[in-house]
Amino acid sequence: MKRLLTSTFILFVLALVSGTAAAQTSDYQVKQQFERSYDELKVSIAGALSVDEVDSLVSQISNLKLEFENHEELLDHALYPETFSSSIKELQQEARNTEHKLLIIEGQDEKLTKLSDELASYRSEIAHLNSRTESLRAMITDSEKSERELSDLVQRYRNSMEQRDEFVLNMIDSLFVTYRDMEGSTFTELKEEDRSIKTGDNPLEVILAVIEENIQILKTDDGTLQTEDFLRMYVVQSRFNEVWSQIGDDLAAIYGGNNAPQWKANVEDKLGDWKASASKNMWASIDEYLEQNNVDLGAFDNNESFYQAIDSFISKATDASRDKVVTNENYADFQRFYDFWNTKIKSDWGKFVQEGEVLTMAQISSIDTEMMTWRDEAKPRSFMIPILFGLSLITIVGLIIVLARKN
Amino acid sequence: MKSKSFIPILLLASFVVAATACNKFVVENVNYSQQIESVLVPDENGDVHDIRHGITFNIEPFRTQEFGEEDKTTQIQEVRLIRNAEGYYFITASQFKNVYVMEPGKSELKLKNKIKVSEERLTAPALNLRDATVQLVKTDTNEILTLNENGLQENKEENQS
Repeated sequence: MKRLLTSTFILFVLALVSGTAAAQTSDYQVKQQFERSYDELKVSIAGALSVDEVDSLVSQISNLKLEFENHEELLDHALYPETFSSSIKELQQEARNTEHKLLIIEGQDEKLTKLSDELASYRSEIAHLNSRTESLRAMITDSEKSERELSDLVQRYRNSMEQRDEFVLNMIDSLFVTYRDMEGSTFTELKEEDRSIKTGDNPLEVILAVIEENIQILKTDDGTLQTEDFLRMYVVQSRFNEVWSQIGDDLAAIYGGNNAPQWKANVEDKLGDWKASASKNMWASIDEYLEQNNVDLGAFDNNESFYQAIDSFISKATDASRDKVVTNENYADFQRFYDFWNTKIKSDWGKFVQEGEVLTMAQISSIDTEMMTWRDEAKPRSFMIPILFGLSLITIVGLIIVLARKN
Repeated sequence: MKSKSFIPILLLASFVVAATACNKFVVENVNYSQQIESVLVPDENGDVHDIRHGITFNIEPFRTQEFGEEDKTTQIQEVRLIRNAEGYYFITASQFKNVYVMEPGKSELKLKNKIKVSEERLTAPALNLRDATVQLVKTDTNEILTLNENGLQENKEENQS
């Protein structure tokens, strides 16, 4: 028993001694080992892709601290001007920063996933509405039905278009709100991730499809749509353009991958086409409406020329009313334009005229003032008062003569 | 007449006293010790630069000392140096048999001592500073030698292996 205890003791001492012997290293090696571990951790923290990964790295930082804290004094000298403690703190701070950034990205990822789902749902709804409007248009084209039934079909077609445009507006607003709320710093991270082109759920594809469908509708219209529809489509296009100008760069960078510049150029090219078609159809439709109502404003094809045309038309009409004896017929000209101005421009189309800046508020207000002047000049004047005045004067003069002769 | 002849002697004596006083301005108890060895890689000319501790020198004289004038082929990959509290540099490298104790002078390092630390050439030496004395650690064998400018000291820590 005693021999067993002695040999156990010797073994214990040997193990202790060999353990101590193994610990004989150079200070320089300690420094190098610390620096190597420090650098590896730093690289891992910078490249961490998930919060779990960062958590694991945080525990590795604690292990590093435990492993080297016996050499703190040595490392304070070796790492000058840094210290052991400041190096550990720096790693911990970097891990916290990365974790914070990753938490934001994960939050944004959830948001983007939700948006992708929304886009998919918009896409299918828009496709459904497209097919409905297309079949209604086909029915209108082939229709041999009565005028009343045809009018009903046209109305249904226009309603369907309106619903579709509302969906497009909602979709573009969702896109805008989601990307606008994202922090600038996380955009950089998102751009670095590979989100490029998964057919079907890429917002850039959805945007391009929507633009192309709109161009198609505008180019193939056979007179079924009315001015109000074109104004609404012009507003949708303006809103689309506005949102793209604010988030287009970021969307292209995130979802365009290596082809981001091409995607951006492609979308902007199509947006240009859409704007040209929407603008052309809208101004032509307003012009046609005015012609049908016997108002000739002359040529216009943009906001400024439209305003100038109205301004010039009212000025000429006011001058003409001032120069000649106004009759009821002249006043009817004023009344016709006044109806167009108040009923259509300011009321029926008012919402789109303002949203699409077909006319600005300042221009509308200026034309309102001119309209008042025209009305004053165009109002037929009554000749009864001067006639009565003349008759009264003759009567008085007659009476004076009669009275004078009597005397 | 006698007093006149003393004047130059007095002046000379005053000057000598003043000059001696200037030369005696000394700061004592300076600790030159370098807490961790520097491991320096020679450039193509054999120069090593320790930027942190501000010293540059050529290793060729050490190579000649170790391997002789005739050996032109042996290359020194890394030089290890550490400075003790008194300001002596302890310099060695792999394949050396000695640690060179060098005393810094005006633009020179003067050999103070050449301490033979191994019959075989060193394979993985390292220099540590422990309690203001320099240790040579043979990391391949875990042998530790305690050194000062005068030579090998009796090890405070016995070789554990």
